[in-house]
Amino acid sequence: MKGAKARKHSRASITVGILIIAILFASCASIALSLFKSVSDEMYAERRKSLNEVSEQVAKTVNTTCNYSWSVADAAFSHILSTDIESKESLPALISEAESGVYNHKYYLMLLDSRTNYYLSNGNVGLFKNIELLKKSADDRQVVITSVTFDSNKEYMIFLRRLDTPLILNDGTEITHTAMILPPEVYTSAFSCSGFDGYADFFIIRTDGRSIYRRNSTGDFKTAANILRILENVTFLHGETFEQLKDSLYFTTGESLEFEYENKNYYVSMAPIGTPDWIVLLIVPTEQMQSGAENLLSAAMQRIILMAVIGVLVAAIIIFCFVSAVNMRIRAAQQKQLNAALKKAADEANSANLAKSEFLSHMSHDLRTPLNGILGMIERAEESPDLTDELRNCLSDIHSASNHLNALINDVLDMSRLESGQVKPAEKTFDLRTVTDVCCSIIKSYAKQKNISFTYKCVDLQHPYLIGCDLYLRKVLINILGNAVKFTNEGGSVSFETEEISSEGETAVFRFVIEDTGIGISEECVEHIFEPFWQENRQYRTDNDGTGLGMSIAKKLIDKMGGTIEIISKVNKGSRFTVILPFSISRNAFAVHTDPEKQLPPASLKGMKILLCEDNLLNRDIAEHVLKKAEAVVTVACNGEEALKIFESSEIGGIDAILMDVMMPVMDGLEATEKIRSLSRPDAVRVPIIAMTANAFEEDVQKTSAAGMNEHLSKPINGKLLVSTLAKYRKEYE
Amino acid sequence: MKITKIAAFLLAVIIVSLSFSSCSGRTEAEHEPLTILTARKDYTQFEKAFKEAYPEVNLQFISYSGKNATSYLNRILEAGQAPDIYTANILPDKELQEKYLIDLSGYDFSSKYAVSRLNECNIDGSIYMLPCNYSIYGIYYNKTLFEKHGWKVPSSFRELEELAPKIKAANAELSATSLELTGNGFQFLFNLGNTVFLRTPEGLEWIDSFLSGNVTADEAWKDTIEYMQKWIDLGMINGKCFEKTASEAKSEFLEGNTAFFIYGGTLRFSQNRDGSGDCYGLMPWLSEDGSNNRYITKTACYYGLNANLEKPENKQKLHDALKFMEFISTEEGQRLLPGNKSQLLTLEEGDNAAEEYKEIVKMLDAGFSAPLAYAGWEDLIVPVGSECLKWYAGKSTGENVIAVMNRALRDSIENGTDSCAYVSEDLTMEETARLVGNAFAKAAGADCSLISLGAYHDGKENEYGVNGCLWKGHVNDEIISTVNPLGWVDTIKTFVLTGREIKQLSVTGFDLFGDGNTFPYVLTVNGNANLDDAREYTVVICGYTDGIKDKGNMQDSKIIGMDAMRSYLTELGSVSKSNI
Repeated sequence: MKGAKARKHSRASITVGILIIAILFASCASIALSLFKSVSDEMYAERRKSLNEVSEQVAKTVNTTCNYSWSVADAAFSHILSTDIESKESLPALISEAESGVYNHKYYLMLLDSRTNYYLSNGNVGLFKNIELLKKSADDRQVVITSVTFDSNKEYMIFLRRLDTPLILNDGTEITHTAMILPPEVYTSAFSCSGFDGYADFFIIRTDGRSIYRRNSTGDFKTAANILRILENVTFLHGETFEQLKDSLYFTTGESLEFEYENKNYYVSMAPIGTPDWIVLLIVPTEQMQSGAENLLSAAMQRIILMAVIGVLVAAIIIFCFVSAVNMRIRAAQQKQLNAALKKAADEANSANLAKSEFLSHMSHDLRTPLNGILGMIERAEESPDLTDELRNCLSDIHSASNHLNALINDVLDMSRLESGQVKPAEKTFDLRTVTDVCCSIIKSYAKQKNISFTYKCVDLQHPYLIGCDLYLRKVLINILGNAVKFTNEGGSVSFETEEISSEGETAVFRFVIEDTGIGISEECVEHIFEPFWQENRQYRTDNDGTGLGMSIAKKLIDKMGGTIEIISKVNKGSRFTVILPFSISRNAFAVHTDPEKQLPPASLKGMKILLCEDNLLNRDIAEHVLKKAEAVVTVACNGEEALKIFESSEIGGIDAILMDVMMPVMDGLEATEKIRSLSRPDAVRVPIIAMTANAFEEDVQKTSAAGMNEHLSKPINGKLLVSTLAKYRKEYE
Repeated sequence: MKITKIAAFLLAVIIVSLSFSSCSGRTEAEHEPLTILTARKDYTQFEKAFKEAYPEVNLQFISYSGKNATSYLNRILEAGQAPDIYTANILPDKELQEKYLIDLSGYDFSSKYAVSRLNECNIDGSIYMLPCNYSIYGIYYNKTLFEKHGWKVPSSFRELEELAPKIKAANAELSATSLELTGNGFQFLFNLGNTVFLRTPEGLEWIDSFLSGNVTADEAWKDTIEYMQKWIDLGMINGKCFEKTASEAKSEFLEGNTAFFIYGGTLRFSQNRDGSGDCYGLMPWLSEDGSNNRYITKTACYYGLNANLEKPENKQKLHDALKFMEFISTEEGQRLLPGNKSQLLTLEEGDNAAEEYKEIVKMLDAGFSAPLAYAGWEDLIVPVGSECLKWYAGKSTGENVIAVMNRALRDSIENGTDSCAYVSEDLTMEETARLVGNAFAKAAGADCSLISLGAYHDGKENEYGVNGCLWKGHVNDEIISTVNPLGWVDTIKTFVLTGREIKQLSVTGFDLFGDGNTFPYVLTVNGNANLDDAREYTVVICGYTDGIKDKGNMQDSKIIGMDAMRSYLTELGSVSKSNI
């Protein structure tokens, strides 16, 4: 629930973050765009204004040139017109004189008579071609660009003036007009636009668009007889139209517009010249309009846009980090929750484990305690000389059953501990031969009982001293050997072989082979043989005593020791168990650890003062019997507190040993031992305290050892073992 | 089996490859041809060069070798029947140009023409026709004859007056004057008028006033009429070739014993086509004192494009047509246009003058030229020209000419027409030929007529047949002259042939060039009767070989074809397909 809420919150945070980024970006983009548009509009307006000024300036120049030319013409002709001229033959000389009066002149002066004859300074005479200019209806002063000869290659600029009063020569020739003629190389210098790196196309047009003069600089833009016809079909930008351009033909000031033509942008600018009634028209590629300031502005705009983009990115990063942090917090909380849940689960598991351990401990105690009582009583009963054979047999059967029950309890408790993983192997140095000897000893007697031959062989044992858990190894071998004997009929055989198969470094690998001629195991059963409580069929549950846990325990112990087990079996033929186990090699020689039962000290406790601390009446009674039988002096306590008091009140050295049960009311054995050991009396530390308890697991042994106990005897108590253990602490034996 | 499969696979690959190769070999779809009227011009040289430059562009020539190309070209524009590439000898009416032609002023090839040169074509800033080359008109003289006799080429009328007796004394003819076309009659008068007063500011103003109907011709033309009479009296302009065709008049001059040739067209500068024989020169129309001599200049031809080319379905044709215009806007293109040898270029760049014209150009540069009078005078050319022809032949007077001029102008202003009939629907060439055949047969009293048709056979055309069609509208002499195979003065010829011969001719056609590529006849029979094979009939034939001439015992009916047409159409009043 909380996790779902946290995820929802996370998604909401991400969504909000993205929205914020998008809004920021859109805002920046729109601001940048509007700024760009605003700047673009400003630049366009600035360019138009600039271009208008240029075209107006050019128009003014043309106008000035025309006005100047008129001045020159008027000045040049003034002398002629005021002279008394004899005949038309005198005219060339007069014209020549007038031409020479103009500094660095490149003009031609011409006079026209009423018969359209023209007169030049070089004496050439001819008929004026463009007589339509001489009509009465024509203006008195006209400026035209036209060819003056038949060859229309060259067009001249003619300043034609009708005389207010014709000049009558003495020979009757009537001079009606003067003309100053500018060759192309003269007037084109005025018809130019030096700016824009020479990329401007220059036209002089009439109001109907017809070209009077045209000069294309680069040839990029089309040329035609009527430039306006081309401009009719281009695409004007900034919402402007061709009609606007056309209307501007009649403006008194310049007008400039931008258009797009064949994927390139241009500016067109027009300005009236005035006199004559011509229009200057410039066409400039837009790219030539870029001024330094505009370039700077453009660069600045680019930087602004770049910074805006960076700003948005930074904002995006910040938001991303924030969202990430929020997510991390959420995840941390989730993790915390998870950890708490895990901890709780772990606690519960631990509690369960503890509960299980406690259960097992209690079960161990609660099962072993009465069993101890049963076995103890049976042993006492068996000691009676008055037993009949029948009773002795009964007791023997009860003893066997009790032993079986004990084995069962041990196996079940072992299995449970193994499954819970609480079994921790205690590794120590041991002699492999001792373990195998013990096993053989146990099995041999078992086999003898069933008239089964048992053989043992040890092969290639290079490293007998090993580091490992001998207890486990013994358990494994005992279980397999036990099964081998159990499932072999009378007359059969069981063989046991130990072989060191390899050694490398600090590790040696051993193979243990147990082979029997027993009933065998079917293939199907081999697969299940390691399952707890699994037995092949019910018949064997009756005929063969067993808990059904032996192989399971053996397998688990083998797995714990890092080994393997292999089974080869044929029904009615027998089975072969191969166990391979690795052990660490001990480089230190080890004194052979013999079976305690074999090397027990004399079974007599005469003169020993034993403090017996046991809360269970039956067990106390059994133990007391065994001790007294061994001639020990027994003092009894029912709980740890009593034991403590008794010891405290005893003389120094007055108690030779204490048998301490562990699980007791009022004060348990562990606490009592600690307190005894903490007493300031000198024997408090020395007095042997032997644990006598149903808690038989390794940790129980460790606990008792930690409390300060010297020995640990598991219930059901073996009387002989009890006596021999105590006997070790007899004063003369020490 | 496996081999079969492999073989089949290979075969399939081969077939597919061939298909692709044939597809790739096949070029884009054939371009629809651009139509152009020959209008009595020889385009063979131009066509060849243009095809080399633009192989993908196809030209289809529509023949017109009739007697009045100028009027016919104007007429087809009026009728909205102009070909894709429209040519004109004279600039058409402005409204017609605006209505039927594309504005070329926005195309880059228009910038190749001198600005001032395009002024004549300008209509409110638009240019619908581009001028190509100049024709120069004057008075041809036999340079060889002059050199032979040591005569000096006159530079004034006074010198001409002095020379004339010398020429006659040498037993040479003074002048051959082509008097076939009324237009020529008109031109000669105005050419002289240019030397007198027309090329003065006052003259220009008079023209404006006269054509507006504000003044008459009486006072202004008085000096010119007197001057022309001097030319007539001198014999420089004479009626010896009256009722002769221009070809016949030309033949007289080409014989080599005539000093001058007064002609309304252009002539080569040698007696023979290959440049051999007598050499000819061209002198201006002379003013009395030689101070106002004038060569007559005229744009040789104008070219424009039919506005239909701008329709979406004609995109390819427009593209091709613009290539045509680009080509003729180059020096190379203009030099290849028909009649180029007697023309000067109009382009902004390029070496202008042909060798024979270099001296003439000097005079032209000095201003001794005048444009051919035509524009604005269209309604007056025929009546005034006709009267002039009579005057030159001694059958009228100058005063009559002035009177006709005044009247013709009045009629023109008052929208009066000299229409003799109204054509109510467009006629095909065949239908027009039938009309002509009916008119001639009736006038000559013939039983039937065989009228040959004009066509274009790889540069060869038939000027002896009907060229062109009559379009819907009024018909007057000028329009009749465009379809009349006999022109203005030629007479109807009759033949006597059997029905079989006539029918056979109608099938085989007119083998003008003797190459078997005949021009078809249109046979019309009075009353649509069947011709009896064995019986002889009198048949009018327009377009006949010497063989037919001999076989048919050709007779000159002395009936002028123009008169016959006029009478027939006047009688019909309204012409339609049903009454042809």
